[in-house]
Order: sequence, then C-alpha cells, then structure tokens
Amino acid sequence: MRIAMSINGTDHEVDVDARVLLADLLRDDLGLTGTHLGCEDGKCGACTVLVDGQATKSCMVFAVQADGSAVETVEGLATGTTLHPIQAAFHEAHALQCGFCTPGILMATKAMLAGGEELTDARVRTALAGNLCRCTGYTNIVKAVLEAAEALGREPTDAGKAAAKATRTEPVGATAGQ
Amino acid sequence: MATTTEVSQVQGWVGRNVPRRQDARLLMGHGRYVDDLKLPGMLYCAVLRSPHAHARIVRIDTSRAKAMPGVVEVLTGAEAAGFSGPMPPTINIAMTLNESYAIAVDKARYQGEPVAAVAAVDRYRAEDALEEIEVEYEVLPAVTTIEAALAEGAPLLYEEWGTNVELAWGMKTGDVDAALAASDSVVEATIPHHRYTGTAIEARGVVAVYDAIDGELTVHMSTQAPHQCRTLLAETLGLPEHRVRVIARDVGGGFGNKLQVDGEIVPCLLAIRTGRTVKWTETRSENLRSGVHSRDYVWEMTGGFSADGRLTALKTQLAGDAGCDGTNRSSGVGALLVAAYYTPGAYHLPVFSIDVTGVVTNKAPSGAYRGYGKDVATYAIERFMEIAARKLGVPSDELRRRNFIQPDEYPYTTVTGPIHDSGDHPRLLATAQQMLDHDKFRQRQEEARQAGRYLGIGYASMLEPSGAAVPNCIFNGYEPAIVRVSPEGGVTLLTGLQDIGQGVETTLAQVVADELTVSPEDVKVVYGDTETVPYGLGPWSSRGASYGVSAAVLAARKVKEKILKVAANLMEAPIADVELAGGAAQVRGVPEKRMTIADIGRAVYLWPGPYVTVPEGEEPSLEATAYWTSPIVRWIPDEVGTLSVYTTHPTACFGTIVEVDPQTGQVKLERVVVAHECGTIINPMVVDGQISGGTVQGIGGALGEELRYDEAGNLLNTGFMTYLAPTAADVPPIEVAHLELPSPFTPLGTKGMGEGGAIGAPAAVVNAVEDALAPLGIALSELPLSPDRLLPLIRRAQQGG
Amino acid sequence: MRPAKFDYVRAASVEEAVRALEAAGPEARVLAGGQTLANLMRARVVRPSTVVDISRLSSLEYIRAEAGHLAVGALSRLRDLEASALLRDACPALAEAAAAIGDVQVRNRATVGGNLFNPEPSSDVAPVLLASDGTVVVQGPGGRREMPAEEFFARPLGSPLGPAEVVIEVRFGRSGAASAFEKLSRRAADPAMASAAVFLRTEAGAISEVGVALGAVHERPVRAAPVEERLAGSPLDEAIATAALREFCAGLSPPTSPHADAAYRREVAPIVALRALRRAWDRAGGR
Repeated sequence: MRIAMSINGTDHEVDVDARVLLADLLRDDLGLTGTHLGCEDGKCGACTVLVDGQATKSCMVFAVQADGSAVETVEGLATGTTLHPIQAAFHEAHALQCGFCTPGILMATKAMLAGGEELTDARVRTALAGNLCRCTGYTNIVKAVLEAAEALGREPTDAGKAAAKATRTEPVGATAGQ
Repeated sequence: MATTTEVSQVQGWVGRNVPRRQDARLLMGHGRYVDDLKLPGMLYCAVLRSPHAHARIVRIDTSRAKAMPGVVEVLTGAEAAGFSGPMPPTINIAMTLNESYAIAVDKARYQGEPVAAVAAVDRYRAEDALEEIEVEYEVLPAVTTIEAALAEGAPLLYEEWGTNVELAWGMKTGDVDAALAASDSVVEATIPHHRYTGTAIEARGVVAVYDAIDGELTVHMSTQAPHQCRTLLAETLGLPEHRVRVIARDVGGGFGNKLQVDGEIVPCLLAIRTGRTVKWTETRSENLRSGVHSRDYVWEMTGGFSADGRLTALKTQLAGDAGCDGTNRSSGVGALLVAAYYTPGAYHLPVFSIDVTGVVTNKAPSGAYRGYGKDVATYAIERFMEIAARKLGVPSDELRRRNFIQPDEYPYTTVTGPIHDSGDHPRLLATAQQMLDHDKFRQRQEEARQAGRYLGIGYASMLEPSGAAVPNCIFNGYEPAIVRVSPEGGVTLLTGLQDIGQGVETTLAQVVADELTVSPEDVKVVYGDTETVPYGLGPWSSRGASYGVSAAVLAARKVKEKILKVAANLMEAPIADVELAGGAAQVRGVPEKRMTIADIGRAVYLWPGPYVTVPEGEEPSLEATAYWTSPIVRWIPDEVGTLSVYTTHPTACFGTIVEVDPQTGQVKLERVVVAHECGTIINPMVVDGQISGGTVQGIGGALGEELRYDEAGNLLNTGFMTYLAPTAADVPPIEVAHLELPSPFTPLGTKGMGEGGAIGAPAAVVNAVEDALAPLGIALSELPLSPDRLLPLIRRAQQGG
Repeated sequence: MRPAKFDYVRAASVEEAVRALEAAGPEARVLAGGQTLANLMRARVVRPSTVVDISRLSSLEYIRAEAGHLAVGALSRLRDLEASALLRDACPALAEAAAAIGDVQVRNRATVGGNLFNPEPSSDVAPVLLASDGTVVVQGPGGRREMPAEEFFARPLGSPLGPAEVVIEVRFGRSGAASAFEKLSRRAADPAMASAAVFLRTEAGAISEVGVALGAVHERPVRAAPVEERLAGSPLDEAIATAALREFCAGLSPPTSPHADAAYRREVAPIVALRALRRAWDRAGGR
C-alpha cells in the first residue's frame, strides 16, 4: 500500500505492507534508527515518537495507520549538532546512561512539555510511566525534565497546539488530568 | 592545530563531574546499537524455541519452511552440530560441566531453548517460516524447584550425571558446632530469594558477517565482554580465534547479563552456513525465556550470639537453582561460591561453615546479574541480623553496630579469606539514619500506628566486593591498557573495558587526562573491537574503577615517563628537574624551557624524528602498554579453604521508609537513601547514576520483578507487562550521600562500583516492610513482596493467627 | 514479534466498515486505537484475515449529554475523556477510569469502544458502564441496535455482537448521579488487580439509587446487584456495605495473573468497592 507522511518535516512516500510496524518503517526502511525497540507488548516505550504531536508507541501502530500524519522522531530534535533544550537538560543532569531508552523518553518529554499543566516531580513521573529505564533509576531523568521545562519557559509548541485542535463536541484544551 | 588544552596546574580531573562525551550521539538518536546496523545482503534470523520445559526432540521437518519465498536457510541442532561444537564452559571450578549446543540436538532442557533457526530476507518472513517448521516432541517430566531436583528418582536433565547436582562444595573455618553450643543464644532462619534478572532495555543482538574466502568471522554484538565472547565463539564454531573479530559499539545496558555467548551463536551458525551476513535481534520474550536468569536460592542459617549480642559462629547451607545450566551457557552457579566467601558481610565473625549445593532444573540458564553472589550474601546476612535482633530483643541497628568491622581495622581479613580494603560501616549507618531522621521517624511511626497506618523503616549494610579474579573462569583478574600519544599530541587509550552506559568512555579519559595533565577532551577512549584493543575482560564485577582505571593509569604513567625523558633530552636538563603540568614539560625554575606534549610528539615522530630526540636505548614511540593485576589476589586456598579473589570493597548503608496499606497489602516507598563509599571517586555524577539505577533494580526485585515458572516449567513472566520492572511513578528519587575512603590496593585508591544498589536495596526494603508490620508480628520470607503475598499474612495476623 | 499477514481495509464510514467486515467474514477484526489488538497480533495470538481500520472515523469522537445519559462516541480517545471538563463534572467515574488506563502513549490512541474489548483481565471502562446502567450501541448489516451493558459483557468477550457489527456509541446512564471509580494495580499504568465503579443519588440523606460494578475480579465485569439492593433506601453505612460486598464477592471466580492471584482479587474487591462508594457518597453530598 502506498502511504505518505511527513517525518521531522520532510515528506515521504513509501510502499509498505499493511503489517509493517511504524517503528520498522522508521528504522529499517528510512534509516532513522534513533527510535528503539525494547519489547513487544507495548510496555517499555523506547519506541515512542510523536504522531501529530501525540506521544505514540511506534511499535503498536502499523505504518499504514500513520498515512497522512506528521511524525516526529528523536532525529528531529537537534538543529545540526546543537542540542534541543530538552537534550541539553538531559546531558547536564546525567539523565542517560546506556542511552537505549532515551529517545523514547525525549519524545515523551517533548509532548509533555507542550501541554500547559504545571509539572511536579509526581506529575512528571506519572507522565513517564510508559517509558521504562533500567540504568538510571529515573532520579536524574525527572530532574532533567523539570529543568527542561524551565528552560523552555513552558510555551506550548506548534505541535502541541495542533494536537489540541480536534473535531469534538467539547473542546479539549491544553489542560489534561487533574 | 594543537590538541592539548592548557589546563591550570591546580586542577585535577579525578573527582569532577565531567560531562559524558557519548551523550551527544545517544541523545541525537545516533547511537550505534547492534540492531541499527544494516549491511548489504543481510538476512534476518528467527529462532524456533521449545514450548516444553523438558522434551526429547524426536523429529524435525524443516522442508516446508525452507521452501518459502524469502527463506534462505533453516538449521536444526543436528545439522549445526555437523559443523560446530558444544558450548565450552565459562567457568570450571568444582562443578560438573555439561555438553550443550546452541541449537538443541536431542533434547530441550528449558522452555525457550532453541530447536531450529531460520535465515530469511526480512524479519517478518523469518517469523512466518517458524510456523512452518514441524517438530515432534516426546514431553518429559520437568523439575522446577530445588526440592524436586534433589528428590529421589527425580527426572534428570543430564542423564549421564546420575544427579541434578551441578555443584556440591563446602567450607569450614573451625569447629562451628562447638562454637554454637557455647553461645548464649542461637538463632535460626530460612532465607529464600526468588528468581529475576537485569532486563536491559536493549535485549541481546548480533550481526554476524562471515567471509568464506578469508575464513574470517566478524560478529557485531551487544555484549559487555568482546574478547571472552570471541574466545567462546571461536571454540564453539571451530574457527581460529585470531580469525574471529567481535565488535561492540554502543551497548544498551548489560548489568552482567551479556557476558557470554549462547543465543548469540545461532546467527553465527547461519552466517557460516550461508556465507551471508545474518542479524539476530532478540525479542523481549526471548530475553525473558532464554536470557540469563539470576538469584533463585535458599539459605538455612544458624547463628550463635554471645550475651552482649556478638556473633560467635555462623553455620549455613545454601542451595541455588542454576536453571538448566550455570557453567556452559552462562556462569551462574559460580555465584554460589562467591556468596559463600562473603556471607559474613560487614561483621566480625570468628567461625563459619557453609555447605553449598547448586542444582540444575528445567529453567533458563543462570548467569550474572549485578551481584553474582555478593547479592546472595548481603541479602542473607542483612535479613539474618534483622531476624536475630528481633529474637534477641535488641534494636537491629544496635545489633549491627555491636558486630561491625570497625574503621580502624582495615585492611581487614575475614575468616573466609577476603581482605576488605577500607570502609566505615558504623558511619554509613549513622549517615543513613541521619538522612532519614530516624528518631523523628519513630515518633511519626507511633502516631501513625495509633491512626491505623503502618509505616516502617529499614536498613541494610552492604558490602560490594568488586573486581573479581576468578580462576578457570571468564571472570578472570587482569586488565590491559594502551596509551598512545599521536604526532600532534592527542591521546588515545585502548582499553579492554566496554562502555555499557556506565560511562567509562568518560571516566577513563578523566584519569588519563589527569596523569598527562591534559583535558579529557584530548583523550579518545577506544573500546569494543577485539582487533584493536588488547585482550581485556570487560566491565562486570564492577571492575571498571579498579582494573580498568588502574591499567589506564599505569599505562599513562609509562607514557608520561617517556615524555619526560624526551623532554629532558631535548631541553638538556636533568630529568629530575622536568615536570609535566598543563599539558607541557617544564624545567623547574626555567620558564623559557617548556615544551608542550604536541611539541614533543611532533619532534619524536616526524619533525625531525627520533634519532636526535629520543635518548639512547629508548624506543621511538610515545606509546605504552600496561597490565594491572591485583596485589592481594590469592588463588591457592589454605587448609580450611580461604581464598582472596576480589580486590576492592565498596560499602554502603541503604535505608528506606515505607508504608504498607493493611487493606490491600500494597507497599509504597516514601524515601530511599544510600550512604555510599567506593574509595576515590572519579566522577561523582556517574557514581550517583549507578547507585540510583541499581537501587531501583533492587527495589524492583524486592517488590515485583519475578521470573516464575509453573509446575510444568512454563514461564509466566514473558514480557514487560508481566515482568514488573519499576516505572518512574513507582519509586521515589534516590538520595545519595558519599564517603571517600581510598583503597590501599589501587593506584588512585579507586574501587570498582556499580552493582551496589541491586545488592543492598532488597534487604533494606524487606526490613522496612517487616518493621512496618511489626505490630502484627509478621515475619517476612517469600519474595517478592507482592500484595497477594502480603495481604494473606496481614489478614492471618489480624485474625489472631 | 511481528504479526502474520493480513488484508487491510481503511473504512471511510461506519457503513463501509460494516460492509468490509461482512465481506471479510468471521476472521476479520476491527482496528480502532490498536492498543489491544496490535499487541495480540504481534504475539500472533490473534491472526485476523482482514483488519478493518475505523480509527479515522472522527464522527465517532464525541461526548454529549443527552436525555438521561451521556453519549460517548466509540472512537473517543481515552486522553480526551481524561481531559474532559464536561466529564469531570457530569461523570467523574468515567474520567477517572480513563485516566487510570495504561500510560500517556496508550491513552493517546486507545478508544473507549476499544477498551470494552480489553481482555487483560478486563476493561476499566466496563465497571463504569455497568454501574451506570449503561448501554452499548452497535451498527451492523441489520442496522443499529442498543444492548444493555450486562448483555455486552457476556462471555466469550465479543460474542453478543452479531457478524459484522461494530460498536459505535457507549451510553452511560444515571445522568446527574454522583460517581467514582477506584482501581488497584501493581505498577502505575498496569491493568487492574481489582476495580470498582459506583454511581449513586441521594434523597433526604438516603441513597435513592445506586449502581455498583466490579472489574478484574470475576470471569467478566460484573454488577453487584445484591449489594445495590442492600444499600438503597438508607444512608451509607460502611459496615453494612462491607458485609454485603463480602458476601457478594465470596461468590466470584476471579482470574489469576502474574499481577495478582484469584484469592487476592476476591479479598480486595470489597475494599475497592467500598472506597468507590465512600467517594461517590461524599460527592453526592452525603455525610
């Protein structure tokens, strides 16, 4: 099946079997190996990318379902070799060790910071419950997210605004949860 | 362009939070993990695995699978055995070895054991092909507990053994029975610990490239031990070792699980058979079913105490479940021996005896996971002291204090032989108690109890022997380093260590930079290629800061020596007057007599070259190789069997405050603190990260992680949905305090660290939960402390049972 | 693991989805958020011949207060339910249940309709639907029909649906009632060891109407009708409620999973239900 999607702002058109996972399309067919696979029951979150601004486990989505979507992967964060503020915060806080879970956590963080709610240690931890890490024990990851939030001044991003737009009876808005 | 950075003379790099060099590529998604590798013509391997825990393979028919489009090869164990050998042992001390093949030949001994393998043009078709392979099994009865394995008439895994006992060993330092009889009190305890493992987020993986013309095999692998894997692969595959190359670039976590080859052999077999490149990327369920498992043991402990609460004797039995294999597929049974030597833990102990039994059962192979026996020892003795304290009516922290090895006793030789280099257990306990505001907590606990809430506080004093040197084992005891200065003054360190996330790429650069008075930016650390780096032993047993660092330091010092000799020669000064500072050789008191390392490099190599620069009798190079071996390793046991195998011994006290919900049996951790000591610290930030990560793994082990088999040998935890590794929302921040007590046995006083959290945290958590439930008189034993284990205990106690 | 081969049809309307399901036969499956189905397909536990993708039918994403019930389009994402100010006000149990399902990534895609089919060991939306005396609206070759929640959750899961029938709307009843949802799980984002939903109304300080339902503690999500009968007509008495719940739960057949065994689920079910009752009672202004 022929599908089209934009990935990190670049348009792609590919022919893909229905059963190919979005993660495999990104990694094997498009050479974007920054998104990683750590499990097959959708629990570890290492494969997290943004699809239309929403944090999504790319191993739980068939590529054909992303037809027409805007996909963001970790490769789209930095500008050249200049780290995105989230990446810089992770570096400064020593929030990564082996780095395998890191891209998924960076993308989940990007989506988290696009929302408008106030972040606390507890809220960050809940928002990252879908991303497993075995190296860091999460202590520095939470620090890094809170520091990145400050660095970014918590302005919702374009992607976040796009995600908030919906064809629903009742406006979703930027606030999530309680 | 000079590459040597000017560094102020008072600065050293050891002790500084130098940020990690590898972060940039990892953060940007440009890490180089094995599954990222895509080579021309590469095939994908899928493995058919036995659904049965114990079964004879009667017949395999691969013809339909082979005929599928896109399938290039299908191999059975019998076919593979035609051109490869069994897996050699990874450890061979006092244990019975087995003959097993990477793809089972006549019998499967655990659920998940490979019975056939497919190479196809993509992952999807490789898995499709698995479904077309027909296997006829004769299902055999399985043994899934130590008890069942030892029972009279038990089904045997290796019939030729006549038993399921893989290891039977003992040690007795004196007349322990007499000592017990003479004690004022005797305490007995049965202390079990369940099975779980590291589950690095990157499971295992291999890309095997076979060049049939040159007869050379290159294996890209997610591994912690490239050289040992090369040795093992060469032997199994019948290839000359120097024609096998193992490359490990970025490795997504190891924790001790990735130290050998088992599943990794399969894609190599397919590569040799097809002459093509073959990739195997392990799935999570494969990793849980067939990757190394750890722990799974039970202690019987009998300890004697004097009237004033001092340990007089400890008589113990330790039985461990090594799964189907603790010697060849991986080395897990050796952990029981390590546990034996370290049972006394942080305490004075005059007399000790132990009987160790390692059995095989129809479960996955048993290997190393953060601890390798040190966890077994710490958990046992820290639970035993808690149980003893309750029985003796002494607060457990007080009982510990009465028995601690004292700070002025180091280096301290224990009754079993190990020498503890430095430590201060009393101070670490005091620090942990201070961090948790212990006395105030007791008040709060009392108030909470009045309100029907169950809060608890618990501690565990941890000992982390690091840097093993095990004879007849891949966990051997030496490490090389090559330091090389280039013509323009940049430095390269070639190390046998591997960065698996613990940061050696940065920390080794720090120590070499310190020795050569340059910046870590000027030092490139090369690792992970057996063609390039000398034969080293990888990071396991937390040996990075002991062996790895020490070898790098010695090599750097040799190069420094050479630099000074050349400088003295060129500046016509006595060598005693020349010193290295700020990346330059300086004649003391003569400011204009100064040459940077870059100046020296240029002069020696090419401009003009060695004949007028290098003193007579010296080699024309700025390169040196050094090996570090331990000054205190003793492999020859004395008459009672004492040995010294580990060189450095970090220590710590773990403390935690928990709350147990008496209605649901759920445990919530309020605070977790670690007062930690690991000698001279190279990079505090890296040390904190290791402690935090290991501690959360230890918490996971105590509260949720479990590899449980039913009676038929079916593994119940086969994905992260059912293997309960903690999420960020399940644990509090890990708070760490440091104490630096340099080791007398290493050049910089460093001690290898990293496993400590997984070693010490479990007992602290269990002790805290037991403290919380103390009003109900509940004694904890079975792990993990899941709600469905705790609630029945609580109910029974509330009903007056 | 990777899924087995299948044919893929993307439906542009409900009618098209029904026709595609009819054409494909009984081995076809509906794909909505995919957070359950993709998992099962990757494990090759489920091998549909055809997957009919309805996830883009945005006409099925809505939350509307209608006469006597809350109409929620089957494709409403859990994240929208979690964030909905309308729900937090009108039906907090549903907002709470949605917030408690999985993690952020799952909730971004998972739908309320899809969640009803969660076997794992059961849906969290289910007890809310049952306790609200709700219904499920399906559309199939024979047109639309509405069935009571109890009928929907008969086992085997999905069996009450006829061939080619698709869930298009979920209706939560007891409009205006106070409600609460409770869930116990091992880790954050894990499936329930036990869950409970309560809807209740008070009149003159007594419970005038109450619905109590439990999840993950029986072969299917189940309404505790005998408990409802005991509670109606009086103010909430925790001792009476506990006794009634214990009696009811003693007759349940809970599943066993690595998260919790059957005995545990049976033991904590009354506790979880009582916690939900207490909160619903507080919300109704009781006490």
